[in-house]
Amino acid sequence: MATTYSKTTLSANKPRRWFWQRTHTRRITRSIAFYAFISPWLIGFVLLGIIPLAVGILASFTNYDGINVETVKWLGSRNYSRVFNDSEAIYAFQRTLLWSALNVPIWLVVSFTLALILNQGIKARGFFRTLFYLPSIIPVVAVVWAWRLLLDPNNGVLNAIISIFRPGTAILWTTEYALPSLTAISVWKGAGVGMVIFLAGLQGIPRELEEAAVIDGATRLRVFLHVTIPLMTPVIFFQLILGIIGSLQQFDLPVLLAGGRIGSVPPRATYFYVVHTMQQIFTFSRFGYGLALMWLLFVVIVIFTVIVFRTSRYWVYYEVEAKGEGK
Amino acid sequence: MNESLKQSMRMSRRDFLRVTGLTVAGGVLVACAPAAPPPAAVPAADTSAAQSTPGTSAPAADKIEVQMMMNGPEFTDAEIDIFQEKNPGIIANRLDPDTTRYFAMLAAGNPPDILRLQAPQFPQLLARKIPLNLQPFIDVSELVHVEDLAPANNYYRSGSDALEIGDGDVYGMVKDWSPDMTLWANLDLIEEAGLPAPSFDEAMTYQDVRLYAEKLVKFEGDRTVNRGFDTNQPWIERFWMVWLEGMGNSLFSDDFKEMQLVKNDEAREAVAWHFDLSTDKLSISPSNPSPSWFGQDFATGTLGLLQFGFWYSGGIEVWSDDAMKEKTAAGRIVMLPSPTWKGVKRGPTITATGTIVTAATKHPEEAYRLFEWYNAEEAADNRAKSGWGVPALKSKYAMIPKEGAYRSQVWGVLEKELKDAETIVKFNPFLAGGEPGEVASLYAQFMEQTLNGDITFDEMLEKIETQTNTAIQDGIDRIL
Repeated sequence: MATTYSKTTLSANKPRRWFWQRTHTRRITRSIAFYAFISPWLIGFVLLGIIPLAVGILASFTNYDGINVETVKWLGSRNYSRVFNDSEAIYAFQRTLLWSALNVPIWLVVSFTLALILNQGIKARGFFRTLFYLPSIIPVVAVVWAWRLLLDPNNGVLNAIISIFRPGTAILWTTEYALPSLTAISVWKGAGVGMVIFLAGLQGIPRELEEAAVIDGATRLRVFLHVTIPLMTPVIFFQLILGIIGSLQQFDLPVLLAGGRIGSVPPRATYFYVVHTMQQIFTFSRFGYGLALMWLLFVVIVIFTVIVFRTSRYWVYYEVEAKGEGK
Repeated sequence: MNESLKQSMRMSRRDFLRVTGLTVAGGVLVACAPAAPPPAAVPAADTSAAQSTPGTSAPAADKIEVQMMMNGPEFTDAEIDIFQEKNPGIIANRLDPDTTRYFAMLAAGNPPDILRLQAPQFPQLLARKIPLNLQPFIDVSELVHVEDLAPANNYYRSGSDALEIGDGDVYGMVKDWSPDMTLWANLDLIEEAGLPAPSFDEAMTYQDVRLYAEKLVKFEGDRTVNRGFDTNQPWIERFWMVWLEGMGNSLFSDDFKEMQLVKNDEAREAVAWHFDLSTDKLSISPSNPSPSWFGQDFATGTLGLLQFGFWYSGGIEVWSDDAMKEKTAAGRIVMLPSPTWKGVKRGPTITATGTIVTAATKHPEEAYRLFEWYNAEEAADNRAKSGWGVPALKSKYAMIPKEGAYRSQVWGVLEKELKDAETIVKFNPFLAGGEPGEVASLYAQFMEQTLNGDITFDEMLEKIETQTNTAIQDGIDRIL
């Protein structure tokens, strides 16, 4: 039943109501302004993020091949169980883990070392910072082509140099030593970005802490180990997460490095998980299966990220104590 | 307005998000919906129904855009201008060929009108009722006549069954084609290796090719300075199919539902021929990679024999350096007849790159007009004169370049080869047939393991067969 109000009641409440009305109108205006400002992102996120993800999840349970919209079949969890019976997928995943275990630490150490060197008062510091950062802004296709010319067994620069001492050398850098070669290229290309982030972290370390340690008689090594490193652990933590995600998703380098080989199937040593996924999708038209492979990779990445986050309490230094858990 | 009513009209953030969500979802649904109802040409229950009738499209007063997926050099801006000048009611819009994009546009109900494809892709597309039956247009065409179609066009002809390609209604045409089993030889390298100059009239055997490759390869220590023989390995199973079909054998069962490799001695022999070349470092392989690609290697004089079609006669003129261009003009680079496999000489095209009109086109008549112009008028003439392929229409064979030492030698061989190029290969409709195809991709994947001794040759064949059969089964599940 609708409530009715007398004129007297309404007029008695007028100042209060006016206040609330005004506050309410202001709130609505502010809400509209807020959502209007974020709507370009929100619409983009829904259209280009949420909807494709939802479609991707659904398609991973079907035999979708890119064309068969009308005859697509629901397979339940068959695509997911197929992954565990796909020896090539398992092999590719193992290679990816091995590559990540090799690439991420080397990249972290090289980036950090470069940052440490360039954080000193050396001459032409700006020039070297630019120089080391340059590979990061070169398109990956150009990078790989340059490296292929360096590493080619028959006509490559590296073998030509070795041939001065041992004529006729034709080391198969991109096949027999595919993993180390790929790591070298990856670190060469990625070290600049890592270096810039580490540099920002290093420059945020208060000088007085290092000076205090020196006054207390600490050597440079001890200052580095007990002041610099602990204060850099949040940056290392951030870089580690990025490195793991990037390495597990590695695709372009091995495929481009294999360019010119039949079907651009990379050597076995660098036949990574995402390469296998792309093969399934684009060579075998298994879009549904490929998506299942990708979602499983997503789960693996989440697991690794959670592990790193969980272990961070033991090795990452946080200046603000969180529930007495931080160092 | 009373308070409770006002209360109910207040928009909370949650409400706002709901409204936004609904609006966006509505927008998406509208965007995803086809812009217009499907035309009469949309494929019906069987392939024979996937046709349209000339004269049913939009009025010519409005300019109609026809989209064609084709490479830039194969359909130039100048040619587009000529077409539009001759057909003022049609705007030709070229898109770069991209099968994934094509299928995405098809799924969205707005596919390109014309698609560039290779013959191995056609059977599966036909099984999916994607190409438009062009026979009604060709029946009334003044430019394209069935009897004038070069044999390679048979790859785009079918009756009502996608499993039976080769005869029946026309669904597409080759843009141009080549007998693809021919060889290219560098006579200077052959002479340097102390080998006799090969005959331009008598076909070599594949055993001869192997012997030539052994002599042509040149090592310096572990380095390979010159390679003996190469071919386009992403097409590798197509070579095996040509050889096997020449012997009355096949890589697949009659119904295409199974691969016949492990227990098929003739098929094993075909695979072994290529594999042994890789083992002995006579051709490109994971243990003997090229920094470039074999077409470029031949054009730079580091490859003795190359198995490529007539189309390469145009390619070598572009990719060669000045020294090689001089050699080519002097007739030191020559085309040789297709070799014989077990005494059988077969020289069909195994690519037959061509075009189809999409059955779901909204403008079948205009799309066919562009298709016909591209395949029978100025653009076709330009291609015929360029030496990049044999024309799709026999009546244009006269335009193939024949002047000069190089071109006359190539034409001399080609003219005879055309007689061996009447047949077509039976491609599997349950495989997508891309480049590389499923079989070639698996061969590439497992060859390195076999070369390294991680698995045996038999195990490699088993892996290829098993995984190809899985791919076939996937294809059957999707299509049937």
